[in-house]
Amino acid sequence: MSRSATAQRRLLPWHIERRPDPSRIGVYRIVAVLVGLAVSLLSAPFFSSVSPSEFYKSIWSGTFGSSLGMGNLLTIAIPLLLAGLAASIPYRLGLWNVGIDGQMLIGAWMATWVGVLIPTAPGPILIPLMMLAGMIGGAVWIIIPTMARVRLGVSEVITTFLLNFVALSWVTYWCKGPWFTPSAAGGIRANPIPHQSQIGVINFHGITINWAIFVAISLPVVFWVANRFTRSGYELTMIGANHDAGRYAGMNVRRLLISAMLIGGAIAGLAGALNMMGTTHQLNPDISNQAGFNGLVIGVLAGANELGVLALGFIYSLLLAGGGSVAIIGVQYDLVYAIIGVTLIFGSLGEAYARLRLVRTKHPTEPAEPPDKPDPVYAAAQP
Amino acid sequence: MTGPAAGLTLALNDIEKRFGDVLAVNRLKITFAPGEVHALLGENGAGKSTLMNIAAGFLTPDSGEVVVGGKAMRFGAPKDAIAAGIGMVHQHFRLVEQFTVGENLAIGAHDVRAMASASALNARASAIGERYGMPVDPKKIVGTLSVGERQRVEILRTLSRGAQVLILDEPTAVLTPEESDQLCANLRSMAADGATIIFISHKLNEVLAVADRVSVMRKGILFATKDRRECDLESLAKMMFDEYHAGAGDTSVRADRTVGTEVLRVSGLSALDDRGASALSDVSFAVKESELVGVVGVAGNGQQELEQIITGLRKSQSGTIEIDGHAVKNVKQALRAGMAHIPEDRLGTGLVPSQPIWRNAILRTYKSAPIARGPFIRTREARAFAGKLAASVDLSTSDLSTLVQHLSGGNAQKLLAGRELAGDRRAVVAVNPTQGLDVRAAEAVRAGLVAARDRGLAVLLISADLDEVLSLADRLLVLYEGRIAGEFSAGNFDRDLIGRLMGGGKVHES
Amino acid sequence: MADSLVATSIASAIGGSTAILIAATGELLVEKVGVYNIALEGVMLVGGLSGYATGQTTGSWVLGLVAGGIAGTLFAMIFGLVTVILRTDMIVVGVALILVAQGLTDVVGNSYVGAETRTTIPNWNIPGLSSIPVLGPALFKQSIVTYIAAWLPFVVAFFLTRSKHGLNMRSIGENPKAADTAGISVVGWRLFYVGVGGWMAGVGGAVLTLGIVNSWQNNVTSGQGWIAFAIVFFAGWQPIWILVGAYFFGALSVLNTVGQAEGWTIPTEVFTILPYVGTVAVMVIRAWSQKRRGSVSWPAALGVPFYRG
Repeated sequence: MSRSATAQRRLLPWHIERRPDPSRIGVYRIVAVLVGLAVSLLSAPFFSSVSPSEFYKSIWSGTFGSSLGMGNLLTIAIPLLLAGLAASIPYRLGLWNVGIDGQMLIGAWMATWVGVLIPTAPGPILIPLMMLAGMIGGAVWIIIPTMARVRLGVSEVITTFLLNFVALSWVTYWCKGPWFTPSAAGGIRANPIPHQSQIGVINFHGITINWAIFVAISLPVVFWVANRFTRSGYELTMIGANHDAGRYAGMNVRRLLISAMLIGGAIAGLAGALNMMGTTHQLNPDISNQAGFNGLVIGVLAGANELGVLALGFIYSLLLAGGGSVAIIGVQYDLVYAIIGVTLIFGSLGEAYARLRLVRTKHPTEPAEPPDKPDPVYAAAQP
Repeated sequence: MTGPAAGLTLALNDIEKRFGDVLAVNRLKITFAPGEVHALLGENGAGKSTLMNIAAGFLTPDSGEVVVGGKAMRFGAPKDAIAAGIGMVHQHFRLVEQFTVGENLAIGAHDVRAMASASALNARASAIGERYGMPVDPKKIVGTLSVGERQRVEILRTLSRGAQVLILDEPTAVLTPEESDQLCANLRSMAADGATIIFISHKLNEVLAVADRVSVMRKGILFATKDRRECDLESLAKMMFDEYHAGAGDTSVRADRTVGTEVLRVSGLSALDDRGASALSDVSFAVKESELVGVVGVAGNGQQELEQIITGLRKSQSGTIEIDGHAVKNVKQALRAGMAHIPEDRLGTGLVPSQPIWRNAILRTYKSAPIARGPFIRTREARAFAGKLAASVDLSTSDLSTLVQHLSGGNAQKLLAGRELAGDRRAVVAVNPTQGLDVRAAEAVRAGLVAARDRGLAVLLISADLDEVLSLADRLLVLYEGRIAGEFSAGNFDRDLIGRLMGGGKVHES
Repeated sequence: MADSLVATSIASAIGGSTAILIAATGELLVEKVGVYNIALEGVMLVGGLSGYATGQTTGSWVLGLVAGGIAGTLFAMIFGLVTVILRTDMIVVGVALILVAQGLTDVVGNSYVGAETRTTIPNWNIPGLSSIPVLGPALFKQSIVTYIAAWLPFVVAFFLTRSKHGLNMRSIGENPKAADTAGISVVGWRLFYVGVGGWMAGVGGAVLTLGIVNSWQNNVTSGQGWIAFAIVFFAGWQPIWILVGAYFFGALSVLNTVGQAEGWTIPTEVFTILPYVGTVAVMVIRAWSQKRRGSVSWPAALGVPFYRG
């Protein structure tokens, strides 16, 4: 074999190839997320005007370091966990629910409306009714994007997202108009909901938190159990992996797609209702506070695993609570978003690392390794 | 008509390519000369496509050289190979369906001006068609063309870039016999003009008809290269596999077997394909208990629609499907009536590759006891069931948590077939069940089908592998352009006539 | 002589849509090669801040626009590298980048909030044409950027359908394997157009801070990047409809302001929701009519990462 003239184009010394056996993607992703978190948290103080020690101290005191902080952390966690769940259930089937904020708003609106309709009903009736109303509101809000996607193939990413703005305007109108109430703090707010429907708080080792936290923690667990051990969960998993196989097995793919979206919407609506009933006690356009967007991030990062939603949801709440407390000492609140964004990107990079590898482009005249016994060829290896 | 410019020798030296820990091409050395039609033969999985993809720049070899006209080349992309004169036409065409023929021929071309109007592109396309003797209508949208026409466009595109070595991957797999003949004639005349034509095939008859030299690959190595005149069907087959199923064997034994009552009845079935053209016209037949009926035909004559309608995955325009007298209109009804289905697309439809074995094993049984209890699935029962199934098909791994995508093709198909043929089913529709499998796995699947038939199932085998059907079937139907062109019983299998009918020939050829 | 209310309304609708128009046109190109840069909002933010900061430092709005473009390109290239080369999920990375952009611009831009704007994009009243009653002040008293932006969709449309390169790049978006076989560098051109889209979105952001809002605040784009993204869907990936969409949405917001000022009884929210409801409605109707005809309007390989072989 002679060293002849080489081809016209110079090749890069390395190129990227798919790994033949991408496994443990979840592990890589988690590790990458933690690395990203560390990197961004460590570099964040340098983007702010405060010293690193002040930065971390305020994060600590705003979260684990004080019972007020813990209460704050858990309060933030309630809508976040539910929003993460609202994103992850459709995501199991590959559907993106980007409209969680809007569904939360409508859920809160529906709950408020119930309170307006029957303001004198006793608490034990009113509260469940309002929660139910919240779920219905969220589900209703996601119906049009769902049907458009399932029957016409219209991207649910765009439709759910755009409806967020419509929901915002709807709620703003009602808060400024028919339900307007002047408030000392200013801002656009509706009348407070009936007193007996405001969710009470419990005191746990000095930490005050409203009992919706139990809903927020238990729902993901319930869904995780359901997905693992029930027939519907099995169908969801199988269809999520492969729609055609689901159809082949006689599963009603369409119905499951619609159900997953509606459940996601309902949970988002519940999140909005609970958030209002537990914290502000009155409807306002900020009721979601971008929890929906954040929820999407959580749901996707968790890989549609409900337990992952729990874990990541808490980490996320920690970040946001920390962000709130550093904002008090003069740091930009949105810096938190930069931290989250960087972490997300690291997560994606980790996943890419699990899927791809860098391979050295061999020079054609390099000696090959001694031949092995020919193995049976994996038919799927054929391009 | 002129072919590509006079010839280039293509030599592949010590090519090696690995996918994971599977060696697809194993230090292979082969030379292709100008002016010849060279057939590359081998079973599915022998490495033929991988090798040719390397030659054409779609894959990079782990080691070894591609030598074109005496010069060693390194291809980073297909366009490097084209620049060197090597072009490849794949089984799945790389055309933009939404564009016209003229536009497709113009993509990436160097002899098109920067601002070219549609009429200029069309004129250019017509000229190209003329030059190579394969006229095309440049204004037609590729998505509306027939498969044979699309292949023409694909070939023309490769030739118009200056390919002097033309590689075709299973070109006749999707053509009617007429189109195949036309293609072979074109290939021969291009070779006569000095081109180097390489085509990959696993159809022995075709190879004998058109090739000058034949090379046989087996499991990544070059087994032999022979001049075509030294070969015949049997010697070629012997080179390809260790065992060869020499024809149909003695079918008279099968002809005498007793069958039971009618199970599956197809009546007056008509259907459209995805593009709205007629795929099936008034198809009627029945399959009885303990009977294996084979439906043969070249791919694309309605088999896919037939498979999908019988199993409830597609709606027909008219006609009925009945199992034991019950109408079957969707998958749920089919399953309830006792229909099993070994689909052609095993990894895309019949199995969920990203899920473990045990979850795939219960795809048919997850709704009933003992696996289901109320709304729940009992994992222990499910795993026990899966374990029994895996043992019964002699699956190579006993770890039921292994993901199906990590199984070999043979093991995956054994799992699928085993699952479908187990239990008390009434009928099974198996489509190309042994395609791409190694010999042992194929034998196992065939044995499973025969055993199912002997147990009393009605087996419908839709296959493009004529020899396989001839060796297994009690009755044989020929499907051509959506119609039953002929029906034969074991003992009366006329291989030549069947082959002719598959290609659209008539019973009495003058 | 004061221009009539109608004229000034139309003028501000056109001028106010310029940023979105430029960004949306850029995104159209990106999606035609099969990538959707959902981080558009983030790119505009980055461009807006860079443009404003450069304008403050140098006093030149031209340099500001250029800086916005460069910043947008660089930021978009991060998206491109991670999604096109590493084949990660476009939605996840896009959302992440928006968050990063929000955070970073908030921090970095803090010193510019409430500053006195040093330079803005001037209007150029076309002599002669701008004196035509009603139409004159409506259409011809815009900045040069707006005049250019109005022609952009036509240029892009012509380029896409009539040029060889336009054919090549469209084939990438429809069937990357076909383009690759034909010798077109899929990864290379996808990256390139992500950069182009980034440039245009960055310039759009700078136009926003230097020409429309004329200041910097945190999250100054407040959803305009998302509207630009939605417009591409609304327009069915056809350049001319992007023009319609951008001006239509601009008109609605102007109508809203005018309505409030004039004391119309229609609640302002009706105008706010019209663009969104309109986009959803258009998408649904278009999908429905296409389903009957059996075709799709989007580039067939949109969002699908490309692997060779």
